[in-house]
Amino acid sequence: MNESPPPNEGLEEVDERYRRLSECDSSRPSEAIRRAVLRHASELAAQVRTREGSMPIEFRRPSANDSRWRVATYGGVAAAALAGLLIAPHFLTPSTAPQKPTTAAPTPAPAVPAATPAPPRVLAGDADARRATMAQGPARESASRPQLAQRATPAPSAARAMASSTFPAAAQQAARSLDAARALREAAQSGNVQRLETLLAEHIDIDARDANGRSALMLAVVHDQKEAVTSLLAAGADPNAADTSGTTPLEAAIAAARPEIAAALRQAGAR
Amino acid sequence: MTEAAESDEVLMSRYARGDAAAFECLYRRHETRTWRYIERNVGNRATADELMQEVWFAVARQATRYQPSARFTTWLFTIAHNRIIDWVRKCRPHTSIDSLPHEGGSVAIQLTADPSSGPLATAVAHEQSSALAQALAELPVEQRDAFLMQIEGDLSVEEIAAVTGVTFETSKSRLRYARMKLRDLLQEHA
Repeated sequence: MNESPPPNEGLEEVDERYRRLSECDSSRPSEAIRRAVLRHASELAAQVRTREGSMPIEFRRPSANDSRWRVATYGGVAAAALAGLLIAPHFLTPSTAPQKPTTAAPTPAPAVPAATPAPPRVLAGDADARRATMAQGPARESASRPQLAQRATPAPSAARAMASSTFPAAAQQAARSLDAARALREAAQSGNVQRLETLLAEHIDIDARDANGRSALMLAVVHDQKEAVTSLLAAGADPNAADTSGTTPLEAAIAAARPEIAAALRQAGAR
Repeated sequence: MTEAAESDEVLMSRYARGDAAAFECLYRRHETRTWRYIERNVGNRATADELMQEVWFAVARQATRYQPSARFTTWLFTIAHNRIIDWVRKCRPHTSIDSLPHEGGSVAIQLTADPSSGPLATAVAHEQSSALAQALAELPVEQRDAFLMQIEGDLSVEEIAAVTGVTFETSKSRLRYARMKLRDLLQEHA
């Protein structure tokens, strides 16, 4: 914008006149607004008091750009698929309690030989074990699937269909994407730029949010990681990606008195 | 030290630790200035109420992030400025902010409805507020925004430049042009 300042003569009186005229203006926000604001602030203060110290205030009001549904959907699908894959066959397998022999005919050989050690069971809630399973890659997965299928051999067709379906693969892919996004946010938060660059090279969703709607950029801002902020902006992170409370990275930078980060954000088009 | 004598920054820090009374003091201190900044920018009382609530909700929610080294009013007016921009984009996504009409006249009528005043006082107040509202409405959006930010928020030229994302010189020019136009417009209305 090319605006050359005009001379500044006699302009002070404008402020004086503005103030004088404003005194005639009795308008104020409505009483309902005042009450709502003060009540809201009071509730949040009570939350802080009941928690220890100064834990971050959580206020989950969905905003217009809220993308938590994606995280919730993928996470839910991944969790359900893993739980179904790992637990359902176990419950659908016929009881191992001794059965009364109905005929003298020899019983068919068991699907899994008794001598074969059972694969380690991974419970749905055991995140470490689940991550370890995923970390071992497709080889481990392909090795474990037939065993699971064998264990479920006598189960109804629905369970077999589930075991052989490609759905778990898609769910695992979604889970891996979520893990990568989480890793990106952790790297941004801790200022691990090397890790950040590596992850950014993997074409993951740079603006993926956590449960509070915070992107990697927002976390880098909040944790004063200047280099991470620079890297993320250079890689195309949305400088205006607001969290669930509607706070933009620039507002967070100003609130936290981080002028250098605020300047970098503005340069990238933040507001 | 009484709450009234405490700085904004101290009050915010107290609120971040759970002191609701500190927030109330802060709100009452800045209520009118925030309101005028918003209302005179959007030119609509209902919208101003809505945005006012959003701004102060955001202040309350972000309290724990606030660092006392950041000037409170700069932060407050940054939030208010952003909410106004969001509102403009949401309401009129295909319209430039520069081309927004301002409902100065109708706002002026709303501004002066004070039933406690006598008819003459009300009429005078109405006329004067109307003149101010109309003059503000005739300013270009950026100039009005910068002027209101300075006069209501007491922000420096540097701070206005930072909030609006322009250079110091641009911000300074906007303020000067705004004052020149206002001076002329208010003389016309006098």
